[in-house]
Amino acid sequence: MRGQKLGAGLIAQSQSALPPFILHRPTSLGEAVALTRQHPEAVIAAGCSDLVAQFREGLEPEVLVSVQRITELRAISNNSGVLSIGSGVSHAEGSRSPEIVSTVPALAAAWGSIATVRIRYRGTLGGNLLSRRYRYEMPVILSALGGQMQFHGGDITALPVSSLWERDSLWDRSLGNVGILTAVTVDTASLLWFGYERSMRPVSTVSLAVRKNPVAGLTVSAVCGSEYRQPFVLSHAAEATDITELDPVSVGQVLAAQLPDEAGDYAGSIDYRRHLVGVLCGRLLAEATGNQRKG
Amino acid sequence: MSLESPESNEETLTHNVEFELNGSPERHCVPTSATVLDLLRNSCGKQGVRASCERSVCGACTVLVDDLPVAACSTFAFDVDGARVETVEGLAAQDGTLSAQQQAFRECGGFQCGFCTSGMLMLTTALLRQNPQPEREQIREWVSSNTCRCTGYEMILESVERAAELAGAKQQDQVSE
Amino acid sequence: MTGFVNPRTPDDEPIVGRDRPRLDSTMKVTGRAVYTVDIEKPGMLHAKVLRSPYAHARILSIDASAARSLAGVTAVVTREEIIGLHSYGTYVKDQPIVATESVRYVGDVVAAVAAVDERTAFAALDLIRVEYEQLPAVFDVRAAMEPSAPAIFPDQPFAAYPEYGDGASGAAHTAHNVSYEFRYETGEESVWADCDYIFEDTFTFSRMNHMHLEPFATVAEATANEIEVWTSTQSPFPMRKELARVFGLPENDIRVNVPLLGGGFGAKNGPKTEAIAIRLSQLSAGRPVRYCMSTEEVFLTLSQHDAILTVKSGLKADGEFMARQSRVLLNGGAYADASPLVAEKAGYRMPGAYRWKRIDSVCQAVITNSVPAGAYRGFGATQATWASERQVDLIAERLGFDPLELRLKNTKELGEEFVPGETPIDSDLKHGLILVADAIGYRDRTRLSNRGMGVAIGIKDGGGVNKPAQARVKVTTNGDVFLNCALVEMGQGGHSALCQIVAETLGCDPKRVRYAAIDTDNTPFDQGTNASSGIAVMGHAVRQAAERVKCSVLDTAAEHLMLDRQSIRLDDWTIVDAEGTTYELPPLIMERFGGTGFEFTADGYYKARSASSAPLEAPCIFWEIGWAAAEVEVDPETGRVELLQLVVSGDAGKVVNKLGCRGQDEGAAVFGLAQALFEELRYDDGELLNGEALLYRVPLAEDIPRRFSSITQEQGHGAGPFGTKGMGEGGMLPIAPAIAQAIADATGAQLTSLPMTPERVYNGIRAARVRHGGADGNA
Repeated sequence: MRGQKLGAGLIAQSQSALPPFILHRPTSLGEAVALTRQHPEAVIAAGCSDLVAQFREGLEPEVLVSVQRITELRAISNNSGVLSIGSGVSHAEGSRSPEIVSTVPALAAAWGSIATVRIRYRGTLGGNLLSRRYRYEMPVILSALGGQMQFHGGDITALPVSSLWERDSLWDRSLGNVGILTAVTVDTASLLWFGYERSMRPVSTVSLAVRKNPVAGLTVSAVCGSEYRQPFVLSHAAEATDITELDPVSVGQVLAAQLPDEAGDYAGSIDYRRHLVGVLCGRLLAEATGNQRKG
Repeated sequence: MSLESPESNEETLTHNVEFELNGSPERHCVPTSATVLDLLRNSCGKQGVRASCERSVCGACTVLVDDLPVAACSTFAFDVDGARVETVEGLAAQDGTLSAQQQAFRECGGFQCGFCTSGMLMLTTALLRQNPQPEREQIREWVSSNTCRCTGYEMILESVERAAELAGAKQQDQVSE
Repeated sequence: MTGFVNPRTPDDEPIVGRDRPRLDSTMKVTGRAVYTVDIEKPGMLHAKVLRSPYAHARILSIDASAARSLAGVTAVVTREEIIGLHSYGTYVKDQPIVATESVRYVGDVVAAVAAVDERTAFAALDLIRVEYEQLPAVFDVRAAMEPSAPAIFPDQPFAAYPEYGDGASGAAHTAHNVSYEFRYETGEESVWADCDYIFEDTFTFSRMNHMHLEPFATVAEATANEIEVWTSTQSPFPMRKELARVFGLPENDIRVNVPLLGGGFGAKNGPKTEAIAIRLSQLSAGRPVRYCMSTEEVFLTLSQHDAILTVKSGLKADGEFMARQSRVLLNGGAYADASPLVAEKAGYRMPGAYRWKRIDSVCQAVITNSVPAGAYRGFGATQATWASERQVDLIAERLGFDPLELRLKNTKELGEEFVPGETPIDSDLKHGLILVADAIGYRDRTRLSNRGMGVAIGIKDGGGVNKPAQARVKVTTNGDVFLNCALVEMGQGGHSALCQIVAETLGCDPKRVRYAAIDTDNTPFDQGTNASSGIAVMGHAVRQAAERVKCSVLDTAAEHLMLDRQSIRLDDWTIVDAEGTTYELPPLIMERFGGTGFEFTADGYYKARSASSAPLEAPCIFWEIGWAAAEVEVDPETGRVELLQLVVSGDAGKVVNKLGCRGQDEGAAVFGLAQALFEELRYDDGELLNGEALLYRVPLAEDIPRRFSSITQEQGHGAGPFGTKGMGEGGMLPIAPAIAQAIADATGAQLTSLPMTPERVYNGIRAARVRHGGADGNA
C-alpha cells in the first residue's frame, strides 16, 4: 500500500500499473556509473524481488538501471585476508561459492539458509542490503562480520554494513553522489569464529563473530535481528587470548544487556528479547569455544 | 560509449522481448515496466500462471526461467529476453498426456482450490530437474518456497515424492525401449 | 481398556469414485481451471479504491472533480453516488458501499474509480481531495463497551434477526458498541450449589486473516435496471438477494455467476468487491468493470474474530462436570458482517463435547475501529473450543486428574442430546479421543524431560440452519450427465463429491457427470456454501434429483420395452432386466422421442425441519467433530516449541472421496496449528502491522511436523446421503488446545492466550516454576 498523493488515504498500488520507465541495461560498471551520474534519481535494479515490493509502496522510477548484465558485480575473491563478494551475487551463488565455503563456511551456510529456494536464485547481496528492510538477514549476518560496503563512482568509497540504519548517512543522497554498490568485503585475517542462529526467527536472529584484536585480546561482535526493529550491533572486548577462554554464558549476557529498550516490539518484549539474545549468544559462543551445550 | 541499450527505446518506453515459451518462440513488444506475469498472462494468454500476493512471497506465479523457479510477479519481462520460460501449460504432452508431476498431484490430492497448483507444479519440475530423487527434507525445503492455504502440505509433499517415482519409472521405460 | 463402544461401520459398498482422484483434478493440474480473476470482457474497465488513513474520522468533504475529469476515467463513486442505495450486512445492515458520514477503520473505502486501465484509475485516485475530522478511536473490546468510548454507530443501523427456540435469544444493539448479543441457557441455576469446585478462567483468542490465495474479485456489467456479476463468492443466492436489496432491483434482474474459487475459508460470504464494481459499471454506461483487490486490500477487508472468553465451570469432587457459565466478547471490527451469526455459534458451542446440568452462555459481538470480522473456518467454534478445552486441562491440573480421563468421564455418549431439543450426538466421541491418543502413543508413553502430549476434542453443529437446497440432474440421450446446483467449489472437493453421488445413484462412471457452471438464473436455489453443509444438505437434494431422473428413465424404458417396471434396473446407461438382458438406452430414446433425442431432467430438494424446541430454530443436521493429539518438545530456555507429532481426525460418517476427506482434515488442522503457534494479525494501537504477505506469516511446509497425519473415521451415523457427514471445519477446532496441553504437559506452562509465542511459553514456564515451587515449599 502507499499513501495517496494528497494525503487523503491509502491506495493498493500494483506493479502491473507501473508507468513505463526509461530502461538501461549496462554491461560494465563504468557504463553503469556514467548512467547514475546522468540520471541521479535512477533506480538500480538487480533481482527485483524487493524492488517490486517498493513499487507497491509507491516507488515510481523514471529511469531504471538494471545491473543484471554487469559481470564485474558477480565476482567473488579472496585475496590477502579480504573476502570480497560482488553485490550482484545471488544468494544461491554466494552460498555455494568455493571461495566463501573454504574461507568462512559458516557465512556460506548462513547465506544458504535465508529466504526461499525461489528467492535464493533471484535475490542478490546488494538488493538484500540496500532494501534496508529490518527482516532481511544479510545485514545481520554481514554486520557481525564487520562487512564493508564498497561503492564505486560516487563520493564514498566504503561504508560498514552496520551503517545501513544510521541516520543522515548516504541514504538520503542521490545516486550520483553514492555511486554503485559493487561489493562487500570482509576481513578474514583476524576472524576466529562466526556463527548465525536463526531458529528463533522472526522473533530474534543472532549473528556472532569473534576476532583477534590487532594488539591483544578478542572482540566478540553480535548482531540481533528482528521483524520490526533494525538490527542492533552488540560488542564485547575480552582480554582473553584464546577463544576457549571466553565464558559463553556471561559474555552472552554482557552482549544482550546492551540491547536498547527500543529493541522490544510486538513480537517480543525487551525483557524477553534480552533474555533470548543472551541465550542465543551464549549458545553460539559455546559452539565457538567447543563446549557443546548440554542436552 | 552509448548510454542507450539497444533493445529499449527512450522515446517509446517499450522493450522487445524475445524468448522461448514452452518450447516455442515468442516475440512481444511490452512496456519496460511489464512484469513476466503481465507478459505471460496478458500477452501470451497463459492464464494458468496465477497472481496472488504479487510480492514474490506466495509463489502462486512460479514459472521456470532457464530451469530455475522464479516469481513471475516480481521479475521484469526484459529480464527474460533470450531466456527459456516454462509455465504449467507446457507440462502436458501435445496429446494431453499429463506429465509425471501432474499425474502425481492428481493421484495424491496435492491440490484443493488449485490456485497454488501451477506454481507448486513448476517448483516440483525445477526440483526434479536438479535432483530426480530428492529426499523428504529437500522436498520440504523446496515446497516451503510456496504457499498453499488448503492442503496442509503433507499431500503436496507426497505428490512430489510420487512425481519423482513416476518420472523415474518413465525414464526407465524409455531406457528399456 | 476403557469401555468405549465400537462404532458401527458402514457395511454397504463404497461410493463410486471413493478411491479415485477428484473430478476437478485434471483442470487444476493443467492450469485450465477458471477463476473469477480470469474473467475478461470486451471493453472491460478497471476499478481501484481509496481507503481511509484513519481509524475513525468524520468525512467533512470529498472533492472528486479532478478525478472525474481525468481522461480515461469513466466513473467515480463517493458517498454522493450511493444516495438512495442501501447498506449491507448479514443481520445488521450497517456497511455502505463506500463510507458516508464517517470512516470507521483504517482501510474503510472512501471512494472508487473506474478507468480504462489500472494506471489511470490510480492516477484518478490521487486527485481526490478528502477532508477528515479525526475522531477518537477504540480497538479493544472491553474499552469499546465503556460508556465513555466513542459510539462507532451513533444511529443504530437496521437489524433483523431470527426467532430462536427454547433457551436461546438474540438481540441487536444491547450495549454500547455491541452489534449483537446471543444468549443461551438450560438447566437450573441451583446446580451451582451442588458443585464441590467452581473455577473461573479467562482466555484470549487471536485474530487471523483468511489469506485465500485468490483475492476478492468481481467483474460487473450493470445498468440502472439490470445487473450481472461474475464473482468470487461462496453464496451466490444470498449475494443476489443482498444486491437486490442494496440496489433496489427485483431479483430476476440480477444474475450472479460464480466460477471456481481460489479458496474461501468463510471470507467470501456477503458483498466484498461486488457492490463497488456494480455501481461503477452503472455509472460507466454499463461497461464491464473489474474490481480485483490486492492481497494488501484483502487484509483490510475481513478477518477472524479475536475474542476474550471467560468461563466458569462447576464440578463434583470426583470430576463430574455440573455447570458452565460463559461470557464471550468477540471483536467484530467496524462493521457487523457475519458477527451476529458468529456470536450465536460461539455462545452456543461453549459447552463443548461435555455433559452439563446447567449451561448459561452469553456472547456479544463488539464494534471496534478495526477491520471487520466475519465468517472464518470454524465459525465461533474455534474460539469456544480454545476456551472450553483449555479450561478442562486447567481443571485437570488443579484437581490432579489425567486430562484424557477427565474428558472421557464427561464426554457425551453417542446418541445423547447436546442440549434439549437438539440433534443427538452422532459420533462416538470417546472412540475418537482414544483413537488420536493412541495414534501418538499418549497412554503408554515414557516421560521425557521437556516433552509433552495433549489431546483435545472440538464439536460444532454442522450443516447450518434454514438451509434449503435444490439441485437438478439432466441426462442427455447418450447418457451424459449434468449436475446443476449452487454448491461453490472453493477447494473442498464438493463438486467432485456431488458428482460422485449422482454417478453412484445412476450407476455410471463419475467422469460422465459434469458439474454445470453456476449462475443464479439457471442454477437451482441454494442458501450458500458454508457450515460444512455440502454433502449433508446439498447431497440430499442431489441424490433425490438423481433418483428421480433414474425413476423417470426406468418408467420410460419399462413402458417402451413393455417390461415390468420393478424388474429392471439402470446400469451405465443400459437397461438390465430380470434375466440380465441389456437394452441400450440411446436407440430406445431416439425411437421414443424422435431424432433430436431427449434430456431426462429432475429436481431434488432438501431442507431440515425447523422446530421451536431446538434452540437455533432447527436441530442441527449433524455434529462436526475434530479430534487431535499433539506431542511437543519445548526449549525451556527460549520457550520455542517444536511440534513433534500431530494427529487429527474427523468423522466423515461415510467417505465419498478419500483424498477429499483427508485434505479437509489436514488443511483445517494446519490452520489450527498456525493459530496455535504463530499466525496472527498484529496491531499497534489499532494500526495493522503485518497486513501484507511477507510480514503475515502463514504456515509453510517447513512448519508441518515430520509426523503429521490424519485419520478419517467412517462411523456411519451421518445424516447425509449414505450416512455421510460434513467435513472441513472440525479439524481446526482441537489443534490449539491439544498443543497447549502438550506444552503444559512438557513444562507446566499453562497458556491462556493465542498464539503461543516463545515469549508466552517462556513466561508460562517461569510462572509454573513459581507456582510449583510454592506448592513444594508448603508441603
